Amino acid sequence: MTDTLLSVRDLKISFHGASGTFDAVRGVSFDLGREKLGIVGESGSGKSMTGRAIMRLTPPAAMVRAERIQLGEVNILSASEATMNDIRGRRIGLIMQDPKYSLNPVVTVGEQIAEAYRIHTRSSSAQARERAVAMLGAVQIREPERVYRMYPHEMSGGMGQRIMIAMMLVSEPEILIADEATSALDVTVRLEILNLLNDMVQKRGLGLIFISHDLNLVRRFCDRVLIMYRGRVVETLKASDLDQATHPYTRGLLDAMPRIHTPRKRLPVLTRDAAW
Amino acid sequence: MNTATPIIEIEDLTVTFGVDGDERRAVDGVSFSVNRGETFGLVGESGSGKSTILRAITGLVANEAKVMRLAGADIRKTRGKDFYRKVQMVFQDPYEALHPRHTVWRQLMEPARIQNIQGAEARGHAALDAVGLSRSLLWRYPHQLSGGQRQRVAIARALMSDPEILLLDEPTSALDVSVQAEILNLLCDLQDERGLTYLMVTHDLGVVAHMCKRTAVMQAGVIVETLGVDALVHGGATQEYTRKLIAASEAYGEDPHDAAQARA
Repeated sequence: MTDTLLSVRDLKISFHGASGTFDAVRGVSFDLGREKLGIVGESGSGKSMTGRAIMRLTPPAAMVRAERIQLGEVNILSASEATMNDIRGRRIGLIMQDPKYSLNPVVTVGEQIAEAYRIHTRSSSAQARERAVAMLGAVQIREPERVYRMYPHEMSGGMGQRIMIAMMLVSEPEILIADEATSALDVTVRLEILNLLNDMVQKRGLGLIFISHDLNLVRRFCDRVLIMYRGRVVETLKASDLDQATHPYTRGLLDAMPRIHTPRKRLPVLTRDAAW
Repeated sequence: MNTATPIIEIEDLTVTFGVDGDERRAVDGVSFSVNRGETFGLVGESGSGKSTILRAITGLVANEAKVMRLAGADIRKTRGKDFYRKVQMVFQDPYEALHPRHTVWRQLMEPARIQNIQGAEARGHAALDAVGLSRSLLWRYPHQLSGGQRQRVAIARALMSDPEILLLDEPTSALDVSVQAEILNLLCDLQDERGLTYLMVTHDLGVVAHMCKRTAVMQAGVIVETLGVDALVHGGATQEYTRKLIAASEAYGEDPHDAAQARA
């Protein structure tokens, strides 16, 4: 890791409700360089909330505290809303799992990508259109000119997800948070998208936070992995060393996966320890 | 278990969407058969028609077939009441498949009422026990349950009519791996206890390898090949597409060391 793009120290997120306080994130710290950082955990482990907090997009009811969330020279914790608007989309991109809920249903997908580009670069609409078409090509969409004029409901899930990724990459952010971005895709499409993200990290020095529940995928794709359980990072590992994980939770997750080549009669079920 | 008797026989099944001039064959002349007590997989990318086959079997989409027999009954034209009792479906997303404003108990009682099942309450309790759900959850609504609990409710509901065949449409792909392990174990146990036959749609080759004996690989509405899972995982695929699918799953799939060791 050469230079640090983002630094998070002791991030805590809690919700106050009628039934008491719920701590969704309980002290998470990490640094992100020009690398692929995986965050793995089950649903409810706080991995998505961590991603949201970096963009200050947590729900209004969430109480976010941290020692530090530093993006370059900007302190995310105290930045004005105007500064945040400038950061969101231009410096940090966020791709969510389901394109159905993330795209505007009444605007063509091409225009949505072009709009993202225009807002962040002050280019002419012709330039923006050109960039959007080029970006569609870059995310492996066949016939980008035709797809430019299509509406979200005309897309398959995989295409929709590629549109989202194109929209986030068109403004060339420094950091991309991919929240289960490839989970809904077919293996063959997923391969293309991952190769594209990998290129962005290798060639452009993008910092990628790859939030996923898929241990196998993260182990093969990412450089480093944070394993989260109930709001805490229980283990940080080099992705290639995941097999040497020592925490019982990580081991339990690894064991619970069905394996193609070494079949077992029953899958071991994770036993949870209240102390984790 | 008499493995020689096919309980599902399908020959030349075709499903066409769209009207004249703009037709698309989602399923194009598919044939396969599944033996009693077997788990048969349907693998393929999204849009390959695998889920549409399940929908065609249940009559949710119009279809044509030369042969379509389930549990001995011809279901090409009409499906008797018996059919809906013997064949049940479990969907991918239990949150969408359960009624949002019905309690767990009501989810179970509704099919019982529609099917006119005798002793519904006793069956309801038995179904909950079978899927390992606590009685304390009876009066909860779907949004008050975890993903794994919801899928257990959906499976319990399918068991209410004491079916012979379960159509499983990506039953664990919306679940965490730890919960997936629990649900897959549960499905295996239920199969052992009740001799159920599963027709399972999935895109996860790991799940196929774990659950199925045989599987059909689909692409663009056609079965590319049908093969034993042993052959599938040990490089016995004869078709280019199947190999591509396996390669793509392995590229970011399980550890290459495991794979190499298993082959050796």
